[in-house]
Amino acid sequence: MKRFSTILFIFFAFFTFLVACDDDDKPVITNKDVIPDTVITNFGPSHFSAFEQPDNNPLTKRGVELGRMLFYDPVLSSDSTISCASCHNPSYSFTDNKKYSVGVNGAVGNIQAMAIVNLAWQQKFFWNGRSSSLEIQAIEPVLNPIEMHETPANVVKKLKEHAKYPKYFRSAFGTDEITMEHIARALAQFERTIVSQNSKLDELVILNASPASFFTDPLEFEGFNIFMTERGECFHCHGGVRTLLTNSQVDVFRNNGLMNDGEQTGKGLYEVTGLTTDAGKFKVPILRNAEFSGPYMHDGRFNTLEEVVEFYSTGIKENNNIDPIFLKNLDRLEQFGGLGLSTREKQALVAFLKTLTDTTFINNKSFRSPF
Amino acid sequence: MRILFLSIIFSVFLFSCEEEEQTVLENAQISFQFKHYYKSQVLEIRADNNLIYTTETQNNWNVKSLKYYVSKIIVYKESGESYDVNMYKFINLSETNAIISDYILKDIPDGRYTKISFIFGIDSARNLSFALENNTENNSMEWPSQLGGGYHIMMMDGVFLNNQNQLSGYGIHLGKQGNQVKLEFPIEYTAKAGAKAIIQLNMNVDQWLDGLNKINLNDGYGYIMENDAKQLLFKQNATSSVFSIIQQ
Repeated sequence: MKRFSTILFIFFAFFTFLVACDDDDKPVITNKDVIPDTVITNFGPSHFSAFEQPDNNPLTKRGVELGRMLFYDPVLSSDSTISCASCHNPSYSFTDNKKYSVGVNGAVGNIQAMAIVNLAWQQKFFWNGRSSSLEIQAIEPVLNPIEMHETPANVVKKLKEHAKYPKYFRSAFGTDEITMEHIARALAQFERTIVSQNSKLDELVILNASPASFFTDPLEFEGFNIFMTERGECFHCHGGVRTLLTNSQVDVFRNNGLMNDGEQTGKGLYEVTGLTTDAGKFKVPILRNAEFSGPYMHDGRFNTLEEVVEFYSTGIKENNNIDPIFLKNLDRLEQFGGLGLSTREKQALVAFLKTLTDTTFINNKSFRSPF
Repeated sequence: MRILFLSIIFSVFLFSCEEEEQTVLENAQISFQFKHYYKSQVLEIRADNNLIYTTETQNNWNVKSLKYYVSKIIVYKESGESYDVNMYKFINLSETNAIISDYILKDIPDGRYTKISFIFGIDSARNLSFALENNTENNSMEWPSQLGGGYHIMMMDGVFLNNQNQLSGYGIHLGKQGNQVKLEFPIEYTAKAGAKAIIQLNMNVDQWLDGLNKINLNDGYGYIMENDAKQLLFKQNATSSVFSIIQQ
């Protein structure tokens, strides 16, 4: 009896201990929130900045795979003819080779499709930065009348009635629901995995090598020097060696003198902020695989890298919002209309830009269509 | 025996919840605030081309963005004994993406402190290519390896009206190993449990151009990353009058 009462007392005391300490506000986990899949950890190359897993949408194996299917499936468009990949083709570094993309019913867009490369390290999306979330970015083209022109209700209905997607959504998100949020999360997960990390410049960074000895092609080395010094000033907008690989996020919107004041009125970051000082400012694009991602600039006005370099050499237009970086040498700007590069310097810059080419990225099967 | 057992269980119950009820005294700490002034007025970062400032050399100018590092804030006792945590701090003043949070030096050992020092820029041991944490802020401050590697000490960009009355750009970009500046200031702080202090590290931006060396932006201040002589002028201004502190 004595032993029994002791055991009873221990049980009671332990129960009291548990109850006494359970008043921490622990979140209630419901079936809806459970992510049964394996979260992908240690994501991203070691020479990149650390990848910050989004709290509300961690990368999971099945989530990424579902996102890849949705990315390549025209089911997301109103007439089932256009998929995300129609305008973001891996062969062109996930853009297309058009000035403006073509949506359903032949609707022509009004801005160049941005390349999808290393978005996992970026915080602002679209040329005018109107989205601060990759999930929101991912879903906008589905609803845009000149892109996929679908409605939320219809796209959800089509996926719910699909022979396979309900199973895939359940597998990825642990729920029988299919919502626009789930679609966005899956697409964003896949987009985050589209990582380029294996260019010649990556090798330079990984080896932490001396550029002078690393570049065996003198033209590439000359281009590197122009790019990374005040001769070209490219690095101040396109980041240092490592941010060049992932894009600079500190001053991500710049006015690079593409337009005069009249031409740029109401364009660029202005569309988001409404500030006249933001007219003509656009997101600084990533230069990885620039060799494949033309046409260039927000309006696809340049078809080749040579044309882009020529613009910076002779085509700068002064305007009220131009980045001060372009006004540092007014004599040169007035004489040449830009950096005033020699033929050799222009060739060198193009040669250097091609060292950012990553063919393993272009050919990566896990980025290609699963169908 | 039973009484002993009861008392053990009861004390487990009592101590298991102690954290929630105990008042914990925080250790001694100093919050460093980074402030920026132009002739005693709060510095105004301009997105437009309004030239709101005038220098002693009659340059009309403005500041569009200002980014810099402070590293190795150290506090010293009168005896010379010092305390630091090998910190560095990136400060970014821009219209769109300002980063000017405080830095808190925590767990300062007890005692009376009479001096602080800090380095403008990244200390030499870490001012090497890729030495800092690999993040977008640090990456954007890289100083090209061809020019010596490491990180910018400061980037200050904006526009001014040149001698021909044209809007012109300038870029006071300081870097290169050896151009960092160690600054020292007296303080009065006694560290003990719960003792908190606030110290403002002020950058008096007017003194970059109106300090010991009078800078006329017409004299070629667009590109100075490869110009040691011009960087030295700013280093001397930084040493003499650009920085000050206020202890609250």
